[in-house]
Amino acid sequence: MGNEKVLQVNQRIYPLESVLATAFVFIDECYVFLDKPEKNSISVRLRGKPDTTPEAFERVVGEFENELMNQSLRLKVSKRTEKIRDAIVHRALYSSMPQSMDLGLDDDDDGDYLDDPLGIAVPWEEKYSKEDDKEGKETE
Amino acid sequence: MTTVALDKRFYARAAVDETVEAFGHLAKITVSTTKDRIELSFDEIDSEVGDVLVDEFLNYALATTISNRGS
Repeated sequence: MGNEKVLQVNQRIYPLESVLATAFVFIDECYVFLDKPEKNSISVRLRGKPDTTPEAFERVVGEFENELMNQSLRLKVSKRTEKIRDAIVHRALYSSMPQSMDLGLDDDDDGDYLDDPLGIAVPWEEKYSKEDDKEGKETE
Repeated sequence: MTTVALDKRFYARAAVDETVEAFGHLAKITVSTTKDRIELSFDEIDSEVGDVLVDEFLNYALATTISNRGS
């Protein structure tokens, strides 16, 4: 068949994940069939779609090989930077926690909880009945 | 009749079953498995679709396998 090419991909250079990712990218442009005839290699058969010209198919094959390299490198960088990415995500999640999570326990606050400088703890009747008594006595 | 053998390392059985369901109205597709392979045979292929059916089937099965791996 005219528009057909079989690539033998060395798995030591291009891991399975990168081959699958590349195949997925090109599935709309050509027919991809994977097989594994040997231990360390993957056979990738690319076949042009019915309306693909030989020139266009050659271009697709070249782009497939480039994408294979691209995906391999991406995978390598991804593995190498895995820890730093995790650290950044953890940091971002931690810093986005709402401030209300801070209980506001101020270590410098040396006030006693029994102190009542504004008189909030004094009952209303007690506070105003005394004043009323005073006013009553004064008017008498 | 056309036969194809798929390596289980690249094509998942669940994805192949899903593909058979999607393409089942266009051909009579028989699936059998061995230890390492999923064997497919295509018979009574719809004349309007022709030879493209098998290639489209393989693309669909591969795309479904990869999608399912990612999810």
